[in-house]
Amino acid sequence: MTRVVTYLTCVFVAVPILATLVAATSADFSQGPWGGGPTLDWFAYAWPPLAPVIGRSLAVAVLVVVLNLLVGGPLAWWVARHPSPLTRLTGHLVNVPLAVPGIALSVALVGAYPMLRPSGLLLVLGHLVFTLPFTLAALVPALADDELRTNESVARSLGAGPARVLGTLTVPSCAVALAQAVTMVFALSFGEFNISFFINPPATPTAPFALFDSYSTQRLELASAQSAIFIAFVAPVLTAIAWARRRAPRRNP
Amino acid sequence: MSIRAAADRRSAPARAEGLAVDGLTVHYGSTAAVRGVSLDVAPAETVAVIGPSGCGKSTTLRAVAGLVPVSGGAVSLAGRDVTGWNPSRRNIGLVPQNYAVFPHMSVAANIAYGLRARGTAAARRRERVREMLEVTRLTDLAQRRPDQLSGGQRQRVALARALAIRPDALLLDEPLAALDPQLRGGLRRELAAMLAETDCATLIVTHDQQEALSLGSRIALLREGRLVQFDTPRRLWDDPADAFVADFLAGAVLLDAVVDDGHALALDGRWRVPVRDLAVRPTAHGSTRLLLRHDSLTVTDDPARAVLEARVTHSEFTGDGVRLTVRAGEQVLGVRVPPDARVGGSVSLAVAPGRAVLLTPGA
Repeated sequence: MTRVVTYLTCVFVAVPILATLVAATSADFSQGPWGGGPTLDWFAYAWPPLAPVIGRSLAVAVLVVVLNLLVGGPLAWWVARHPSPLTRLTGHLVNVPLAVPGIALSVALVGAYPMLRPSGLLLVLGHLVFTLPFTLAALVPALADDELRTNESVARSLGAGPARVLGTLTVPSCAVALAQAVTMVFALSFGEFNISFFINPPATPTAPFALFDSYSTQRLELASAQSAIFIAFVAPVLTAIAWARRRAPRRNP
Repeated sequence: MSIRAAADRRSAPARAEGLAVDGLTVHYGSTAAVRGVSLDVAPAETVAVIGPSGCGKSTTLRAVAGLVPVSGGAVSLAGRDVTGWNPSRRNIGLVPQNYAVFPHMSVAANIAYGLRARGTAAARRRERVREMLEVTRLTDLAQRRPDQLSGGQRQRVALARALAIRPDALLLDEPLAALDPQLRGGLRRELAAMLAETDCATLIVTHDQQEALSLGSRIALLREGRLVQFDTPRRLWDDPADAFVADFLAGAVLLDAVVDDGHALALDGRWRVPVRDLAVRPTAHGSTRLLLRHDSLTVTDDPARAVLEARVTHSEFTGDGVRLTVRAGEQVLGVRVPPDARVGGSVSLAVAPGRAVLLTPGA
């Protein structure tokens, strides 16, 4: 039964992707699948205008990942290692953006920090606020693990300083959680639409906004080709997420 | 090569004083986990810290290692007051209950960890790792990962890693608790042999009486954060400080007694035992007391003997006999009888001549 549900879910997810590929490789999709014969011309038309947008989205996603590690890492450490009412409250507050509609979050950010909008910094911070809960969800349990903490205690007693303990024990032990956090944050930022739509200046769109624009104003075949290119960029990251999740149960080797 | 031979080549005075804990107090929030505990461990000596769950024994060990802040008292190592020192500066080898063998490193890398952390030169480090692999019989497993090792092998890795840095003190937290009960006897003897060859002060925390009695040259018994008695296993066994020590260490009962006209009177005078039936020993702990173990009493039907009527509350087959738990008034006692003994709901108890001990001050 479970296997049937799994297969049905896979089919449900795969069909729209395949349909997009069929549309992107059809000369005239209005005549049906591969109407007018198959072609790759739409990809050639789609790539030049999409390339800078993909580049921008990649840059934003990488920046958001780095900020997540710089901010989320120490925050996760603090929450995991210093349990108190304050850290529990912090853990709850970080999750608030998940429950707030993207438009409300965007309006609040634009209203509070209008000066950060033109530079694109507000977009990055908006993505950071949106993705930080996922970083904490991955890192806090890993950092709170009793076995890791015992190993760190032993390393300290053996003469290791904090940096060595972090580099030789904490980070390797949290590698799977870190991979989960990085890939998840990257995928979320790269594909984020709501906040990007409201915060980002229209002249410098991110990839999801550009796709929305193409579907609204261009031919379906061209927009589908752009979608296929977008999927090609995000597929390796989604594969990495699946790998990281498969590795996650590995404990107590 | 023995551990001692492979171990420290530093000058003797630097390590002459072993480990000393003086008035150690540790609080978790407003709760005092350890209260004024004082003990010492000489170089090459093994002291076992024992007590029931929550007595503060593991906290004591963590405080010695510098892993929990102390709120009072002092910890000295090799003559240095290390109370406020960072764990990395104390020169302590720590072997926790789960051994904490680093899972992503090979056996050799685990053993080398402390040496790398201390900046030991590569050639010297390799030599020391080779020595430790040899003395812990892990040479053939040097490149194995921890998940390819048995529990006993992981224990040896943790021990080798701790000893590789030539610690002033070795701290072992429940060293055998993570192992299968069938393996513990053999590994306890193996561990005792390895510890006998070290020249650092060794502190073992355990809740297992057998482990404490066999591994410790002295035993510190803790209850509710306080040190109840600190002495050799023999003296704890023969002259427990109080009823808790007697019960915890040997499952024995300690009754207050007075001697009157050649008899020991216990249980508020309800039980008179001729002193000639008792082994009389001196005590360093104040009043006269009667020490009863499971083999100190017998069930009798001879009315001529000084008997104590008791009600059987529980019986337990132990293979070579049956252990009865009986109640005489408010006092609970233990009696061992042969496996084929017929025992009813109530029994008459008498002292097995020479098997019960009368502890008398100044005897």
